[in-house]
Parts: sequence; C-alpha cells; structure tokens
Amino acid sequence: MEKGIILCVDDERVILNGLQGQLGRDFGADYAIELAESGEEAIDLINELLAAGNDIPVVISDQLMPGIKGHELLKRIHEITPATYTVLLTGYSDLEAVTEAVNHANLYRYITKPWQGNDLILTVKEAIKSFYQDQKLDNQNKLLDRHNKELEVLVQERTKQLQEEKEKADRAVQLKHKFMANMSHEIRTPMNAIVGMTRLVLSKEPKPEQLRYLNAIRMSADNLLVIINDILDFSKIEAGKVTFEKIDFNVREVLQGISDMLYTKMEEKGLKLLIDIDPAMPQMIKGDPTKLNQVLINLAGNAIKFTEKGHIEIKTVLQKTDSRQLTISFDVKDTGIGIAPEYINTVFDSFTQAGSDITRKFGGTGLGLSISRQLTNLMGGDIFIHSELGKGSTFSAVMVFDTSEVQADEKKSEKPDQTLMEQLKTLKILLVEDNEFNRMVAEDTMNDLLPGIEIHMAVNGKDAIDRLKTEVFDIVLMDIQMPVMDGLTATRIIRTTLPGRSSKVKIIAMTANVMQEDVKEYYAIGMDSHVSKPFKPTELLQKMSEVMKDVIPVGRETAQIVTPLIATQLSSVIDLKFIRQFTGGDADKIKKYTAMFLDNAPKLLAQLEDGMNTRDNKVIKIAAHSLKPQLTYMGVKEEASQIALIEKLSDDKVNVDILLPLIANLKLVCSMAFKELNKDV
Amino acid sequence: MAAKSKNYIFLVDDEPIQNEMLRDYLAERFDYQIKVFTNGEDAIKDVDLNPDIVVLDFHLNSNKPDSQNGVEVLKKIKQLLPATQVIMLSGQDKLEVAVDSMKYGAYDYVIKGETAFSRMENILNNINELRGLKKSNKNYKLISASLGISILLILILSFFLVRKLGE
Repeated sequence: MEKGIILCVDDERVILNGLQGQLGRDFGADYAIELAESGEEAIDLINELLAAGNDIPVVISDQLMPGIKGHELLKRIHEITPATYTVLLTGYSDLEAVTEAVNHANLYRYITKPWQGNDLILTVKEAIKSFYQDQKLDNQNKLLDRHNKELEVLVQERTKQLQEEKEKADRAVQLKHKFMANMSHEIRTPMNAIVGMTRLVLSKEPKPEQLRYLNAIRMSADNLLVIINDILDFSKIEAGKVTFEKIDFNVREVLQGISDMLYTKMEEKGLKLLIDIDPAMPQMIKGDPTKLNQVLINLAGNAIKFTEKGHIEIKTVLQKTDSRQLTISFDVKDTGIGIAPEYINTVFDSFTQAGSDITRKFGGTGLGLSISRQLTNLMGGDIFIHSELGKGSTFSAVMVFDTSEVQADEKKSEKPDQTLMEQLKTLKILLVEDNEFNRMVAEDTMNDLLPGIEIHMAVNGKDAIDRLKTEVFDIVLMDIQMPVMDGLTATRIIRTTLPGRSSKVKIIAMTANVMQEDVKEYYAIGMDSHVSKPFKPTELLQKMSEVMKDVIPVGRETAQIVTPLIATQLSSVIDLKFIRQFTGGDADKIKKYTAMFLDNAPKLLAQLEDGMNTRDNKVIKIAAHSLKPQLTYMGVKEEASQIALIEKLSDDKVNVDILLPLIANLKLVCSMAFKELNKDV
Repeated sequence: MAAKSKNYIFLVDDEPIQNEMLRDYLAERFDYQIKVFTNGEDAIKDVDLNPDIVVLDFHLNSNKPDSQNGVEVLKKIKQLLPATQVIMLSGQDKLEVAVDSMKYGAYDYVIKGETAFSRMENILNNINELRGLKKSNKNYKLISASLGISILLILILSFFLVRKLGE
C-alpha cells in the first residue's frame, strides 16, 4: 500500500521547507510530505495522488497566497476528498477566512503564524488519527451497509416465500371449505332419499323385525345428518359466511322446543330434564333463535350423551339488562362423567374430544362445541365450563340479545290446522326435481299426508316451464340445483315471461343449501318460501299452507270455467229423447217423471241457494249431487248446466264465491228447463 | 229370465225420480216384487222379506247426519242376508265408491245417468244367470246320475238276454 500523504501548500518556499523539516521528523517514516507552491498546483497534485490510490489524511495550507486563497483551496479540496482533514495557516487572525473555511471546507484546525512546533505536530497527529478512525468507521459502515443489504435481500426472499406459502395455504383452506360444503351437499341429497324412504316404509306398518332395522337406519341416518350439518356449519363459520338474524322471539318457546326435541332421547336413558327460567326474563327478546337453539341443543345433547343417570338442567339467568341489550346466561348442567382438568381447555378445539377413548365410546365429530363456542362468540358472548370429573359439568353459554319492542303475547300456531289440511288436499302441485329418488320421496310423502292431492312431475327447470305454459298449478316445489336449467333461472323465467296465472304460481324452493344469503336470493328472485332437504313433512305442510293462505286454489277444473252464463247462448236446454226412449213413448210416464222433476228440482235449487247463503259447502255439494242425475234424465247437458263441476268444486273449504257465476248459470238453465217442460208436457 | 213371483228387489234411494224410474224400468223387464225405500233403516226393517237383490244409493242420506249412509246399510244387509246381492248406485264415478262397494261385499256398482238403467238390467240378468246356472248345475248332476243308473240297468238286462239266447 502507498504511503499516506501530508500535503503542505504555501507560496513561500521557506515556510514549505520549514514544514517539511518539522513534519518529516515526526511523520517521515510513515508518511510522505508533499509540497505545493500554489493552490492550482495543490489541486493537480491531489488529483494525481488520489488517482494513484494514496490516502491524504491532512492538508495544511497557507491562507494568503497569490491565485487561489487558502480557504478557497481547502473548500475545493473538501469537495474532492471530503475525508481529508484540513488545517489553515494564517499570518494574522483572519477571522473571515477561518469562518469561511470552517463552514465550507470542514476546517479541522487553524494555526497562526508563527506557529509553535508542538502545536503543529499535535494537530497533524490528531488529524491523522481522526482520518484513519474515520476511514475505519467508514469501512465498517460500508461493511454493515453491505450486510444490511444482503440481509434485506434475504428477508425479501424469505418474505416472498412465506407469502407464497401463505397463498398456498389460503388456497388449500378455501378448497377445503368448498370441498366440505360440496361434500355435505352431495351427501345430503342421497341422505334425503334414505331418510325420506325410511320414514315412508315406517308408515307402512312393517313387521316388528323390520321395524327394528328401520329404526336403526333412521337413527344412523339422523346421526349422519348431524355430522354433516356440523361439518357444513363449521366450514361456514371458518369461511366467515355465517349471518345472524335479528328477529323477535320468545325464549320460553325455544326452550320448550328443545325440551320436546330431546324428550325421546332423555326418555330412552331414563334422564330428567329440568328447565328453569329466570322470572325476570321478558316475554320476547330480539336475536337469532335458530342459532340459540343450535347452541343449546348441542350443549344439552352433549349433556345427555355423557350422562348415564340423574338429570340435565337448563337454567337461564338474566345477568344484565339495560334499555337496549340483555345479557343472558344459559347454564346447561348435567350429572354425567365430567371432564378431567387437563382437557377442559381443549374441548373447544375443533376435532378434539376429551381423550380418544371418548371418541371411541361416545362417537361424534368433536366439532359441536367448537361450533357452539364460535357461534356464541359471534353473538357477542362466550361459553364457560365448570366441571368435576365424575360429578358432572356445567356449560354456561352467555349471550347478548337486543331488547324487543314486541312484548305482546302473539302466539302463532305452528301446526297447520285441520281445515288447512283439507284445503291442501285439493291442491295441484308441480314437483320439479332431477333426482329420481327424491321425486319418489316427495311424491309419496305428500300422497300419504294429503290423500287426493294432485302431483305432477318435472325433471328440470325447462321441463317445469313447459308444463306451466299449458297448465295451471297451485304450487311449484322447485329444486335449486338441476341439470339443463336450474331452479333459480326457471323461477326468473316463470315470473317474467309466463302469461297470467302461471306467472303468479306459488313457488317453494327445495334445497339442501340452507345458507341465509342464498335464501335471500331466492326471495329476491320471486320465490315464495323454501324448505330444506331432507324436508320434514310438517315443515312442508306448514310452508304449503302459508303460501296458500290467501289464495283460492285453482281446483282441478276451474280452468274450464269459460263463460259463466252459457245459458244465455242457448235457445233450448232440455232434450226428452232419453225419457221418450226410456218410457217407450208412454205419455203418462213421461208426464209423471217430468212432474216429479218439476216438483223436486226447485227444492234442490233452494237448498243450493241456502248453502250459498250460509257458505256451507257440504249443503251445496249434496244438493248438486242430487240434482245432477235428474238434469241428465231431462236431457240437460253438462256443458249447459255445469252441475258436475259445481259438485266437484264445492269441496270443503273452497271459497264458495268462486261458485257464484256457476250457480247463476245453473239457475238460469233450470228456469229455462222448467219453462220448456211446462210447455212441452 | 223369469223368476219366482214372490222374490223381492229393494230400491233404496232418497231421490224420488231415481227410485220411480228404476222401479218402472225393472217392473217392465223382471218378474220381481219391487219395494222402494227412501232410507236404509226402513229397508233393514223389512229384511224378513229376504230380498234377492238390493239396489242401494252410495250417498244415501248424506244430508241427514243421523241416518246411516250407503256403506253402513250395505254392511248391515250383507251381515243379515249374506246371500242377497247388493248393487250400489252412485252419482259420481270415483275410485272410493268402487273400492268401498267391493270391499264390503257389493255385487257391482252403477253410476247414475242415462246408461244406469241398461247397466242395471245387465247386472240383474247376470245375477239371475248365475243363480240359474247354479240351479241347472244341480239338475244336470241329477240327470247324469239317473242316466248312469239306466245304462247300468240296460247293460245288465242285455247280459241276461244274451245268456238266454245262448242257451
């Protein structure tokens, strides 16, 4: 390595020599002392030295020189080599120059002429030391900087890798949810057939042995459905797709429902269910009763599962209440096996149960509690456990609800009443379902529940539209996922393009997909209701009667009512051909029969009128039934009288108003008949 | 197909024209005593007459809740008089009419209307034919038995004759 340079600049040769001599003594061994007689020469020299790779730790310059002044020179040198320490020699205290040099040339020291030898040496020594320290520091900084940069690159690379991994993981999770949701759906569809057909066979009075097998199938299927529902719920929660309703409901009814639902299970195990409701609990609260029900059913179901004898208690405590919100604690307490302390914290983890022997012994997915807790969390609450091994557990679900403005006790009966059932039996239904087995289940279930109901089939949305173009139906039961055309598209087309009554047909969606946002979409498109598959018969009846509540059924033949007053277009209504042939032309007999008709028919018409006035369908039906053959014998055609149609339409609970035009026509036809007979005979 | 003069047909219907027309129609064609009832209770009171045939309205007295309906009367008659053939009359051609009629032992059912009378005539003929066949079956058995005996006698006689000639 080249020697370090100490550069001295002065226009006076004597001073330069002096400097060289002094500095040479102390620094000559390690440093070369270079001299320049003017600023210009100094700058050239510095450029040369730097180009040759020399360090220049110190420059000492005189201030007063011809050409470039000392402070100006130092300023330029500082620009060329900022690391170099600069020292200014001044003949007198030239403050201005010093200030200038300090400000612009990072002046290290200034020394007044004549200088003390020690001063100079000390100054140069310190400058050199500082220079090399700076250099070292600089090098270290550079090194650090390099390391830093390397690190940064590394970190960036790693971050990128992590990002990719995360994306991969996210995709996998997405796929998992989608897969689980799809699988659940795919499993539920055939399960619908299994559950439905088992129910149908159970209703067909099986032999005792078969009954046992069928019950086993039913129970296994129910268990499987619970598991599938768990998985579906779980994936919904994981995907953040759970939404909560805010509706007014009665807590007592929810608890009663739970008690009803668990009754059989409890009975089987000889357990007792105690329900204790806080007397301060308001009649109605606002929130999501379905989710509350789900959580409580899960907790109570677990309690039953892990309790062999004793009782289960569901206790509700109103913990906190203000004008807007209520905090309610639902404590489900059992006298079962309890949970070991080491497992208490893990029972909420997905797919975890208190020990693997539990899974073997009691079954289950280990998802129930996890789902319950997440649902509770989402409702602004939490589940707490208090348990002692061998003595029992208490699961407390604390949830927050809104106060309800509705406090009136408006109870709505859940079961469709008898009169509605009678009305439902006269309906004409179009069942749209691609799965052959599910078609069979739906058809047989409805035939069992509502004997006499008229069911037509379509295998996809397009098929359904074709049927609706030519026929009028009361209700369309519409599957959602179908080949060729799905249920949503079909509904849209029915609502927007079909003519008249068919466009207003009631549509009930049947679907295994029961996500709330989907249901909202169904309603937005124009569906009137939905049932989830596998459907419960009572739910289906309920929904059917709901949509038909304010609608008069089409009836089987209503479509045939064309012009109400057909009679006005006819000149004659009777035809005695039959009677003549029957009597062999015997005038006395003809007279006898027509006289009887003239005596009897007005009475029946009066009965009919009575029935209309008192809105008594049965009276109408009987009168029409009796009048029908008599009219036939007098040769009054059905096309004129429509008496058979009246008889058919006057089924129970059909609004008699739809008969008004028909009755008016009948009366006209009869009065014409009476007139003609009186004249003829 | 003439029957004995003391055999009865009961017509049970609350519609007077129906009863009257059917009575006239059957009276012209069959040699039965025809008795008309407007309700089932009266008809059952007269079971002592042991009618061959009862024609019964399926929707009998549907406007009077206290009276027995057609199916109940049918059951009662079949219980009291198992040999009597009951024909159900209905104003409506419905599956339940056919099923209930057959289930409780009716011979047939007829839908009211212009064709009801000739249908009824056919059914009555069928019933009589059945009766007649049963009766002639008995006669045939008798005849074949006596024929057998005569042939046997002839054979024995000829055997003796041949022997006599041979001597």
